[in-house]
Amino acid sequence: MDFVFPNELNVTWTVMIVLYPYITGLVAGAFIVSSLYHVFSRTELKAVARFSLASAFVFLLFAPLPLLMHLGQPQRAFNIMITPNFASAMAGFGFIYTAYLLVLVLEIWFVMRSSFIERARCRGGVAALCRLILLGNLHEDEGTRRADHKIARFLAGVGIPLACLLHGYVGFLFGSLKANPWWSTPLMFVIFIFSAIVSGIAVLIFHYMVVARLNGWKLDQPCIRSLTGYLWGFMIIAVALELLEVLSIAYKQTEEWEVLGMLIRRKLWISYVILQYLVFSLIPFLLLGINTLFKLRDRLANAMIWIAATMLLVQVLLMRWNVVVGGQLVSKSMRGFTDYLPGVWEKEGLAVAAAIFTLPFCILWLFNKIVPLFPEAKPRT
Amino acid sequence: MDKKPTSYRHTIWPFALIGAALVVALVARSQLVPASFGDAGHFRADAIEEARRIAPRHLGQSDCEECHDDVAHLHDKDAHAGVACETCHGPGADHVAAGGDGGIQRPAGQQPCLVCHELMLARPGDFAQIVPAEHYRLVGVGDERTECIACHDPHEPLFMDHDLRTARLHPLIHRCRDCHAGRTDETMARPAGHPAIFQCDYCHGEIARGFADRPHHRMRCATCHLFFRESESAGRILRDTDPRFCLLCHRGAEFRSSDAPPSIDWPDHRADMAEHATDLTKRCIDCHQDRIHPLRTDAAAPGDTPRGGKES
Repeated sequence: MDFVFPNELNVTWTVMIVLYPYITGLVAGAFIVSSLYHVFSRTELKAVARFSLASAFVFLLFAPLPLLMHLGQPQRAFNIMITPNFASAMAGFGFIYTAYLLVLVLEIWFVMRSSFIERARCRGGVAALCRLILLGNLHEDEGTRRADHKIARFLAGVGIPLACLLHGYVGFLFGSLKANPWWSTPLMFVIFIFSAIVSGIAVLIFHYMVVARLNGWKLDQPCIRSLTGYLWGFMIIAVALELLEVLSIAYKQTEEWEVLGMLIRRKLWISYVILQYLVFSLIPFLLLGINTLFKLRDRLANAMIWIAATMLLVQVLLMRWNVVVGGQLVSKSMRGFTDYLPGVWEKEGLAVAAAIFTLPFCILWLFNKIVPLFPEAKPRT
Repeated sequence: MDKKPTSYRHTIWPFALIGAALVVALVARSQLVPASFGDAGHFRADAIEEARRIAPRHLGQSDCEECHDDVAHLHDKDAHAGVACETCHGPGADHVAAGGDGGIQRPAGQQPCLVCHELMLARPGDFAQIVPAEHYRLVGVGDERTECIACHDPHEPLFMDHDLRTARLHPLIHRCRDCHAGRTDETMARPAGHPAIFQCDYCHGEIARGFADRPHHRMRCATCHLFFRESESAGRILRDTDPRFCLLCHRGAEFRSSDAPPSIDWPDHRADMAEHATDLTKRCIDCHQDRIHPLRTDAAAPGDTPRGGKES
């Protein structure tokens, strides 16, 4: 073994390409939660409806950043839209991303218009910014509110297929690379969408609980319980699909299983088998399952849910790592593996990845300073 | 009380703004896409003609040879025969324009050599690569700042005593690195079940046995019997007997470390040892052959050593 062609020694899709589908997954998942409220009228999710919409928007703003960090010539990024080559699925990125961003911006505009108007009527720089966002029109009455609601609902509905398209497209890119046996499967598209929803719900629970704790707010328990149920359900589907995919290759014992089996046993044993499944899937599955099936005391339940959500955030990150990096560890000779360990301070290293992942949370904090993302929040008694 | 009718007037501006942005984007795109884009494929067709109009700055080997035929002669018979002058010296257009006075790079330090010769697993195993610290330890260079050219003449790096291009053809000599990533130890025993590969002692068993208990036994055969791959099955092999090749390891110099291989003063050593006038033209192996391996006394046939025999 260890037969590797010279040009395979360096893993070219680095931790930045791990981070990119991870962030777009958070976008898609958060948006789905917001749509559950705005389109499907799951009113118990009202407490996080605005927050999920804002989260989707902010994460979407930062989704291309890992790609720009990865590019050798980032100033040419717009060429993908100026002269797109549709022979490659990647040419679709610019248009899908722009369309989705547009829908999100508009939906935020219509959903939060009342809050922007309220803020615009004050004095100061933020009020001026709000007036600019509102295009100078501060008029509001029952008629405009009804129009806003209808349009927001329509946009939320349009956004669901766009969210699936944006994230499913990432899975499609991997799944359509037929030369790579670890990626090449039509299921990749679906697996990416479900794991995206898992990470999106998980980040909302994680963030909402942290923010509520820091601000001394009372958690909206029905909302948390509802999110927990969705999270449990979607994680079961996502993990089952991931396992089915591997199981079908293993059962068929096709020639690529020779190397994929070894990839799992040798190179990905810790990150894939131990961490992704045994630790970060099984434990959240049990924690969420207990909470869904039994009525525990709120304090205990919330602690378990927060731990499970945090672990699922890591699980999806591990899944992205194992897909993106794992697929590149296999030699095209099918007889060897290369290695990849990201540096800390390099351009595509861990420090940059951590900074990129932290930035959306900072922008969300600023967003909340302009218009409240949790208008319903009540202090703990 | 009557319900107030739904009012969409305030929604006109945001949608109008998006429409305007779309128009601006389309206009911008029409301006940004080069006129000849797509004429000959998914690129700007004019780029071909523009590139064609640029005067070449690299002139090629023959232009260099017009003035530097002495160096070219050395260069063409040695290990750097396939490396163009301008690979190390940079483009020669300015140099020629200046009448040969300046305008050319003279690489200095280790880095220009290490660009090609630093060990990199992505390079073919048969290509000459070193880990500088290990290489310096092997040849007894104590000062790590010593430049490569202190031993190797870049125009004649291995001081080949005859032309590489006419050297004998030899079946391919494999190294572990030709196939295995991450393994650079070429002396490990062949694992059980490993496919048979061509090894030196298959044909040269008697010599290989005699080599094992002599001072050079830690060297690979191909360290002195220089091998240059030419195809998937064969290459050129050359036994370098130029004294300067042996001196790459054995020449006394200030930069040698205390544990360096035995060193001599050159060319004084030959004069010191000479008993007859003819001794002054002797090669190292004429006196020191016994320190390397026995000379082949008769033709060794393939299969001289049983294939299941000792392997290293």
